[in-house]
Amino acid sequence: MRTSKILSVAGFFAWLAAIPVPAHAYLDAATGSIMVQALLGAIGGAAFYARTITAKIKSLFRRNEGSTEAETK
Amino acid sequence: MNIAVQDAGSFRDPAGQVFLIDEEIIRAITPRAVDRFLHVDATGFMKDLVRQQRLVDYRDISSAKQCAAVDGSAMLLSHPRIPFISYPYEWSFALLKSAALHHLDLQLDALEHGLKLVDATAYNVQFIGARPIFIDHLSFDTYVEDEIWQAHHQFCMQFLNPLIIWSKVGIAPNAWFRGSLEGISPEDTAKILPFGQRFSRIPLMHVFLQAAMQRRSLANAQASASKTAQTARLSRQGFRNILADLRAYIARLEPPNGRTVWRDYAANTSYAGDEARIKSAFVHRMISSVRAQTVIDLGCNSGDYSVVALDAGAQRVIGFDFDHGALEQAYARATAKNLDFLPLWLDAANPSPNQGWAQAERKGLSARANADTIIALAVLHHLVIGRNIPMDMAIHWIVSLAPQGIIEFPHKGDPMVQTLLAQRQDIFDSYCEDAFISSLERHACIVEREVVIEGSRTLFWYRRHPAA
Repeated sequence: MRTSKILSVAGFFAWLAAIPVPAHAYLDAATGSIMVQALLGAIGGAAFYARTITAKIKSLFRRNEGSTEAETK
Repeated sequence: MNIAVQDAGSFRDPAGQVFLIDEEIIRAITPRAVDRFLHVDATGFMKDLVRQQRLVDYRDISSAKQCAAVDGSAMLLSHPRIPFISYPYEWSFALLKSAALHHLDLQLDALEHGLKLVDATAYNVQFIGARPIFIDHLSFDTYVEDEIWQAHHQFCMQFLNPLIIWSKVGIAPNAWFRGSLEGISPEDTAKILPFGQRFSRIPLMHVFLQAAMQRRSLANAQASASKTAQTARLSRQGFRNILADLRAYIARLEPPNGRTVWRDYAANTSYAGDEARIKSAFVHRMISSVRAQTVIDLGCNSGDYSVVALDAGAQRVIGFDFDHGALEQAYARATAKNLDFLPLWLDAANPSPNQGWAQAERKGLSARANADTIIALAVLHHLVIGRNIPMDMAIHWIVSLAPQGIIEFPHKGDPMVQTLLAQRQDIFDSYCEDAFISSLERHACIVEREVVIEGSRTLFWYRRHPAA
């Protein structure tokens, strides 16, 4: 699930580079917006995943203090 | 019930339209939107916003007035009137920024209530004094989990791009925005931002990347648009992150050289004490004696005489000025002292026209000017000598904005007039006080005349002739 998200981001850039350019601006003005959001969502998800992993690793070293703050953010 | 006059700016939304009925602002909700509105209303979110003065109040009058008054309506709401409708192309940097933050805050809070805003048009934000208020109750809808932010592109066009161009390039976007009512596209913005902006996260993602993707997607327009719209997902947390990110970025944006301009103004606006005292006393006397309600301060600068008008009992002042530095200072003053003072941008020689769809969607300045009183101090010479507007026309225009008020006549010997004349040939043979008086008397009667500085500045208190 997470991996597929990261793959989709990579695939997205590959696809972005592959498509030729030209022009019917009046047909859809907001496709770029939708793509940016999909990308931001995916990056945000990946970043969130990375933060959770980091937090989990950190929590291993803090077990004795019984800290759960890692789960909250 | 009298005839319903539809507001020319409200026709696009199939959910409802705004009408003026018996001087009352009425919103008619169509059958297709009633359930949606009732569902949003039931959350209590909109009433909370009204209490916080973030949304215009609304009252269900469906039972009191027959919906038959408006064909095809299923529900009627009544709203209090906004004192003066302004448009984004008349806003200063601070006003546009404040409207953008207001919109984002509404969207962030709506999300906590399982709601969203379906659009992001700047025309849905108005100002009472310098305080932003949202006016479209039919923009709220139920948030659907994982849906994308439909209004993102519009938010960029209407708020983000003009603000970035203003702050980072140093171009005030008012004239551009006025010509392009939908706002400024990411593609255009990307072309003019300095190269370094590519390394700043928000411009990178929301301007450069969006513009690039838009250009790419146009390659196979229909296929890509429908497919992207169907498959794109944005989690609630992702949506919240984008909104919070944009909010933090916009909150940090400053007008170009904003701080230095403020300082310069503070230093330079120290008018000679006597002159300011005489002007203030005269304005105060006129405002209190005519019991002015809504005052236009034409050429308001940082708002010195707007404040005098408010002190003298005026309910509100709508200020206009051409200088963005002065407007920023006026805004700072209005918010710091919580004044009912709205300082707007205006080129008096080219005021906002009737425009948009059917040339009626956005009204021109004169159609919206509803002031009972005007003060036009240190303005006339800018129009007559600075912009070649014949004196009689300039006076006629000022007098047409309000039935009574004060116009200042700066004589040719005045240092400011001399500065204007220094840059050009003096072709203004008839620019003298006698000509001024005979022009003014064609349109109004002179109630009082006060000399501020002999041979330099004179104030005229006028009362417009009743329309023939």
